[in-house]
Amino acid sequence: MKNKLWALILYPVSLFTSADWLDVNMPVGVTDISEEVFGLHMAIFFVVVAIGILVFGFLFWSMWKYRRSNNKKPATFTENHTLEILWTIIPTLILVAMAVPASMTLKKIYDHEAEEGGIDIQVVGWQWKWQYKYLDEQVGNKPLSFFSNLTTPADQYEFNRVEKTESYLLEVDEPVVIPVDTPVRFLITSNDVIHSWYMGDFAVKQDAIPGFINVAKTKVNVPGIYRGNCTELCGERHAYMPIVVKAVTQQEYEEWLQQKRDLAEQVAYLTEKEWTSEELLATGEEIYETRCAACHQANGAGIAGFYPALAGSDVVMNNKAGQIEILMEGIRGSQMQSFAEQLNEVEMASVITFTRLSWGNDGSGDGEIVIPKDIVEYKEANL
Amino acid sequence: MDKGPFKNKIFTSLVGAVIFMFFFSFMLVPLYNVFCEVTGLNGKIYGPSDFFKKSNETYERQVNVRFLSTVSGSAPVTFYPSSANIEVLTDKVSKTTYVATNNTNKKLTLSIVPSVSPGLAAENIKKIQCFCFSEQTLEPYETQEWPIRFYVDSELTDNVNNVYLSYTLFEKEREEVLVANHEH
Amino acid sequence: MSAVVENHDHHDDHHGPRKGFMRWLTTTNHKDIGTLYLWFAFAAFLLGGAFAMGIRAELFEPGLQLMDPIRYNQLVTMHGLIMIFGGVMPAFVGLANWLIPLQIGAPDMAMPRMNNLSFWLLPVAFGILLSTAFMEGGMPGFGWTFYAPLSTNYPNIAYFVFAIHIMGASSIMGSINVVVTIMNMRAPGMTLMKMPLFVWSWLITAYLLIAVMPVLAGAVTMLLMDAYFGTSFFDAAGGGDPVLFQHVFWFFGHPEVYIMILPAFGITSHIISTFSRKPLFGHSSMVYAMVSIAVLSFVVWAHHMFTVGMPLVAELFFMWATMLIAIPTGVKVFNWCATIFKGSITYETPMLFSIAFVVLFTIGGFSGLMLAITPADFQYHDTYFVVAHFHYVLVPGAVFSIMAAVYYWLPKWTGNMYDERMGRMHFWLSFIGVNITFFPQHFVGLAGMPRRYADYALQFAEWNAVSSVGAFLFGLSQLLFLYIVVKTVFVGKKATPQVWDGADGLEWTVDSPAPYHTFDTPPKLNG
Repeated sequence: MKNKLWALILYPVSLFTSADWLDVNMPVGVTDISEEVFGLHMAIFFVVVAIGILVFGFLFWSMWKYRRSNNKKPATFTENHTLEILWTIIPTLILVAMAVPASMTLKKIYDHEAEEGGIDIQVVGWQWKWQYKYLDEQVGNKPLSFFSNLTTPADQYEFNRVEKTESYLLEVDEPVVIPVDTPVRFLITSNDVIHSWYMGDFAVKQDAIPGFINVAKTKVNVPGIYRGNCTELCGERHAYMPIVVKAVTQQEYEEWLQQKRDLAEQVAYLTEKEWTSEELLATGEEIYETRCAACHQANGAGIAGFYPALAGSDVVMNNKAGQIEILMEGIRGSQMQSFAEQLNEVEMASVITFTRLSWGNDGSGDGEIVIPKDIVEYKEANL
Repeated sequence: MDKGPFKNKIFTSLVGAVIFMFFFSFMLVPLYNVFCEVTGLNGKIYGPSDFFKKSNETYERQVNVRFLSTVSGSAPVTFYPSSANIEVLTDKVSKTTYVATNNTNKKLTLSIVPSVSPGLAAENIKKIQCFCFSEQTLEPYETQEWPIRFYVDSELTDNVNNVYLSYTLFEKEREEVLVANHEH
Repeated sequence: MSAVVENHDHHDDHHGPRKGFMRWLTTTNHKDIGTLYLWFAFAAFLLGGAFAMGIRAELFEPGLQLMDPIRYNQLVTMHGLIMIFGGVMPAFVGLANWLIPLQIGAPDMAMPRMNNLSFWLLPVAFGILLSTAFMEGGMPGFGWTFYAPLSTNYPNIAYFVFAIHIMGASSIMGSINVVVTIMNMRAPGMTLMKMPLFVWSWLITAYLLIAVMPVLAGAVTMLLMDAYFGTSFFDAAGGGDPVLFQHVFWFFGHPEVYIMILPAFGITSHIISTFSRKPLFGHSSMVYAMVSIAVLSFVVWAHHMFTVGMPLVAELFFMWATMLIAIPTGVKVFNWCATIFKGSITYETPMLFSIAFVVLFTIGGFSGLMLAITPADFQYHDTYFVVAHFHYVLVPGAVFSIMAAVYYWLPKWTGNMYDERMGRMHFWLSFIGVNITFFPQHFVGLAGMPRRYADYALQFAEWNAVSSVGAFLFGLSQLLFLYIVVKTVFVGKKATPQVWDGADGLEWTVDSPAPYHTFDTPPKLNG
């Protein structure tokens, strides 16, 4: 017990060997707006510090000078009209002085037409991940779209089983890629409850409200990788849906877009090829960990009362068609979403196969695998 | 000592205030809607509009209208605009459509809710015909193309050249349907 | 004047209260009811504090060590609900009950039976709220602000709504009682401007409660209807709007936070004046300042919503209106400083807590002013910077003032002086604990750590560990407070009626402990 007490005190002290603890201030950020916002923040901060020093200085001095042992006879005054007027007018003037630049910056933030051109990205918050649709890039008849899921494995965040890496809780499978020096408009909405899209380095934060869109614009000046968070309580995994934006040169952006278009074509090819169970299992395991394990748990046992177990589940073991239907349609009125738009045929087949062959399900059930062609057939059957 | 029934003007008026404030909170609902319509708060737009020329002194300009779609919850519908964006002239009626496909073997009842950004433009987008005015039904595996006819009136604030019109599709009902024979 | 008089109306009351549990269940005596409220609030403070210990224990390190995020969100939600509706508000009502009749020279509150009901509704309400812990689905986990649509589909929401309705009814009845008492039962010659500032602060607070608690009732009713009766107040699918919820809630919510601080202002004015042995500087401007703060509190609610996508005009209005509130608040702080200046000051425990209130509440006010700057708020909103702000104004703000009030008036209530040495120890442990807990939260907030996060990225680890250590220190110190209060009820140096050298007011003209019935005949006021 005594050791634990020392640990309690020494542990925080030991943490001060890294430089991170010096992060005590807002980031300056990498956009013109974020720099202005930082300026406003520091300005109001210095104003309040100055007022604090004056007022507390006076207070502490009075407390010491007029302590009873030093001043037996208290004064009796209760008014001083000059002072009272001064200490009403001067703060008012200070506030007006602050309000002017603050209003100007706010106006700039709201001026979506300040610059021509640029790209539009629709941002949809889901429980618990972000979806991005590049409205200027059509793939077929729909915009280029992908989901961005947290990739930190449960082993790192549950009970400290495994050591945490540097980008703990701030890493995703698919970052948002944008070109620098280009106006980007984020059109933000939600699929379910209210989320909020926050990028500190851009000074962008807008709530994602189901049924409505909010717009936030930015123009990044410096290439780099920037990380943000969901900032509106949205349920259990509110802390587990980070945002990663990669700002790159125009050329790298074009290359990335091309890659994405190629990938869409590649999926069609991948769907056709012959898959072995091992290949499906490997892909499926990765997908399960990022998309399913949060609720259904790494051991497939679910959480009683909230998320059904997949290990030993009748549907998973014996009902291929039923399981495909659940993943394609979701379960209305529950947390189980439709994954039709979130997983392509290869991914869906892999993860279903993974669940059918794991945790002893293959032994107790029909042990059949699902291949991408099965998913394509299901989709075609339903057109 | 009984002084008779409790009568106090202040007490009565306070109780009245409590009751008023409770109903005031419900009054906030229509008040909020009116306020939104007038100011375009949150990009809400309502109801159909008639098309008629207000005066001959309008000047035309070009506005880019961009269309977005969002499917809410687990609605098993593929829903997207047939055109990603249209350049329109103010006060000229334009038409476009949204495509919706039911991906299940159940009958779906849907409601589609519009939202406009920037919010200030909400009062300047007038819809003459819109699928968002009523609930829509999709039979099993059915695809429908839903039209919108609208115009952007010339009173749109000068410095707004890009308007985003977004529709969010919500599932209201999912019904099992006995499908006798399904042809491929 | 139509004051309601107690059932047994004798000129000299020799039979005291009943004995045992029935005394407390059926009492209509303002002193008894004040005591009930204060003990209830203390229990809630310790329970809400226990939840806080759970939160800080989980946040001691990154990762989930002790609980899953569902449980964490429940602790966060219940901590807020219990502290606000079970801790701070009932404590202030308890002080109102004890002190208002004494300070205005009235024999009791205007409606003693309704007073009893107001109190006893609270344990019922909290019983209902806490019972969700034993149900499937568990306690509410949507934050004390219960935004739709997250809250609409949450399990057990009906119990939450029911509990809020009952608490609201209790507050409303209590406030009506306060206003009617103050307006009707002041001793002859006590004009409104001659009224003590604590009474003034409660008069204003009561009006705020009457205006906004019904709006909270409306909001939870609409939520219940959306959840169970198929309405769509807050559901976009049916033509509703989630943002409407936020407007209705914060229309209640902002005045609510002033409800939680105005009585603290009243208490502070009394204590600072007493221990400086000097009359309060600017008595009438203190009143006008409180009135302005209360009026302004109705037009700033959307500063809690700067990121929902309101039009520019609205954001500008709410920014300016919010900044304006700093002015009357500043006037109050300057007046307290001017009261101390050229006084003859001693630093007993109530004075220590009150001075800490002035300094630390002002720091909370500074972070509040920073939050008012809308473009900067885009960075602060929903981060720990906000958590730091409101904990500064609530803990070393409201809670310290309640502790100050308890130390100050405990000798009047019990007839015994509390142990001064232990009181000071409690103060210093609390002061140090509170600052170690909440000051680093400014840092992690600025660095980007969001609130209501069960887990966080590695760069926030150091300051979270520090904050948690501070929280354990602060939490443990409150057990010392419990001990001090319980001990004083039973033993201590006998207190005189005056108790404190510089104290002024009608409550210091009666015996310590105050007799069960006081001011059966109105006192004569001098001057």
